[in-house]
Amino acid sequence: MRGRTSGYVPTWLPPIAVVGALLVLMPLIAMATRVDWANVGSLVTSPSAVAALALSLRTSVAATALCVLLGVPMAVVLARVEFPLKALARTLVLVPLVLPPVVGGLALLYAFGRRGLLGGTLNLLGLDIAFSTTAVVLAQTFVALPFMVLTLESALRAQGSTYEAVASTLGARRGYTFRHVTLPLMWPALVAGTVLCFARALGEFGATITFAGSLEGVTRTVPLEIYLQREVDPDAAVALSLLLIVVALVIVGFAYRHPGSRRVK
Amino acid sequence: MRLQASVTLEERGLDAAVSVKSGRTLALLGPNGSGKSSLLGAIAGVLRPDSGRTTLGDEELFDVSPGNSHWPRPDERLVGLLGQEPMLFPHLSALDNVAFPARARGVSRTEARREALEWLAAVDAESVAQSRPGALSGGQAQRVAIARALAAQPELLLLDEPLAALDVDAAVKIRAVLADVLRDRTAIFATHDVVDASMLADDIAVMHDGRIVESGPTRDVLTRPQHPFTARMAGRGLIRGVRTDAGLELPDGAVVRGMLADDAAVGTDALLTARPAAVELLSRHAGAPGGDSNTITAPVTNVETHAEVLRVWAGGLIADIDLDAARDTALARGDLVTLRVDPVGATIYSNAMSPTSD
Repeated sequence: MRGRTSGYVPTWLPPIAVVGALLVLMPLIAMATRVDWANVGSLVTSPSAVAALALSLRTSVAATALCVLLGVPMAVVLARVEFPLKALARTLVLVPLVLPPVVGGLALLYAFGRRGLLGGTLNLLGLDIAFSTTAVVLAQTFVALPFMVLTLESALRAQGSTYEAVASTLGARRGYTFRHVTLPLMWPALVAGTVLCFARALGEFGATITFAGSLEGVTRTVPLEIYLQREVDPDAAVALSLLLIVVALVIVGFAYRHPGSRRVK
Repeated sequence: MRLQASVTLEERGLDAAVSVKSGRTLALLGPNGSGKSSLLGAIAGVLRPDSGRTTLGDEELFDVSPGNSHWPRPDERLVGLLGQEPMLFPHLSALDNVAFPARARGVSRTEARREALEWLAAVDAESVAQSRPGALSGGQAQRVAIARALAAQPELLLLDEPLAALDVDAAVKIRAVLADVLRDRTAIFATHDVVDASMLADDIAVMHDGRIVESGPTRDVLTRPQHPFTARMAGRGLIRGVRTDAGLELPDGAVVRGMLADDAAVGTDALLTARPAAVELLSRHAGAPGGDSNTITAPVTNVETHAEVLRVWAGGLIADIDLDAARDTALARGDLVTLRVDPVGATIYSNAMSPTSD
């Protein structure tokens, strides 16, 4: 052990790191001991589980797409455009990150619910968002969007806009430069942000149950299904949880291996 | 096309005007931090000045003044900017980097790549066409950057210390490429290196603390500097005085002889310049100079090592002494020394006083 340390790390530090790692790992290990391995297959393929999985996948993909669509312009504006109250705008964008999701769900309800701020307008248009699959996507987008904005904005800042200036002196218009210089250069960050958004959307619980409810096949995503089965059928809950953990591990591995692999000078 | 530019930018202490005749290369010669990059940045459109106006031929590139703001984006100007770093797009091959300007103009990929290959051939870099920028050496990358700047077909090419980041070998090669590229092209070449300026530029504008102190044809500026700062950049001694029959009379009455470069009248303000090679340091403690020794006596103003010699400044002149001799004399600022000027190596010419700008 000692031979491997770089020599600049105080000796008391690694033990604390190990405690931290155990805090994260212990619950996962504990859960693995409770898994009914023989029946995992059938537990995660029960009709209600399959419905929840399918819904989770659909809504998370939709929410992630929305995060890309909205997050890219937001990050670019925050990183590259000077405007009044910019610091405040950046703070507000990050609010969903620190807000308890259940509060976010309530806020969404007051904005888009039937009697919400925009509810009347939406009603006139024949749209009733609350307690629908759309509400699930909105809730997931709400909580995941800051991850995209944060990831992209810091990448854009670190990169600076020198390459864009070069492109401009080479005669490239702003739109062309954005598509052929800015986007390719922020690609690794976009991949990382997308993966993080998808993970956050997949795990969304509080805002979803508050704003969308828990209706099988319509708004009951995997986390909601787990919460429900926890009382009724703990084995099913554990099996589904295991599935989410595996997905999370794959995603984290993907997100933290890829961005560094393409170094930009 | 003729370029005329005047730019002020208070934040960088820049207040300069330059003009470049059509097809000629102007070297903007000055030390780092003298404002060269800011001036080029303003002309290219990447740095907005407080005020200024620039025209290229009949076209106004920009005009920023109180109550008037014509400030087009860089892509709306026909000005290319090549920097110290190649800044090749890391996600594109060398070929696609060079094809970029044509692609941005809407040229098809095939045609843009065909043109790009020609530009790469012009700078002798076809062999790296398929390489990623990360795999190129500094010299190769700068070749590709030159090809890319040319591919944009600018009416005016600005080069900001394009050789400064290269090692000596690569710099020699790229200098040759640039000599070829800059022939018959309207260009400004910013450099702190008097060698680059003398080899690549038709004209020189000397920049000091954000201002142009002197400008003119390269040979004139470097061999007959008007401003002490120019002389310093050119590595020449420069003393002021008054023209006499025999040479230059200094304020203290001493007369230094030299080659008369023009037939200005006796009594007019004049300058004498001499290379270090034409100046000999006689002794630390000056005795009274002999009648025909062509010497001046002055305190040492600066001493520094320069290649294998100790370079000594005194009374505006520069003398080199070899390091062995230097060890014995132990010169320091303020020591009084006597310098002998070789009359054949010294040039005397009129002091134009106000620097000419055209």
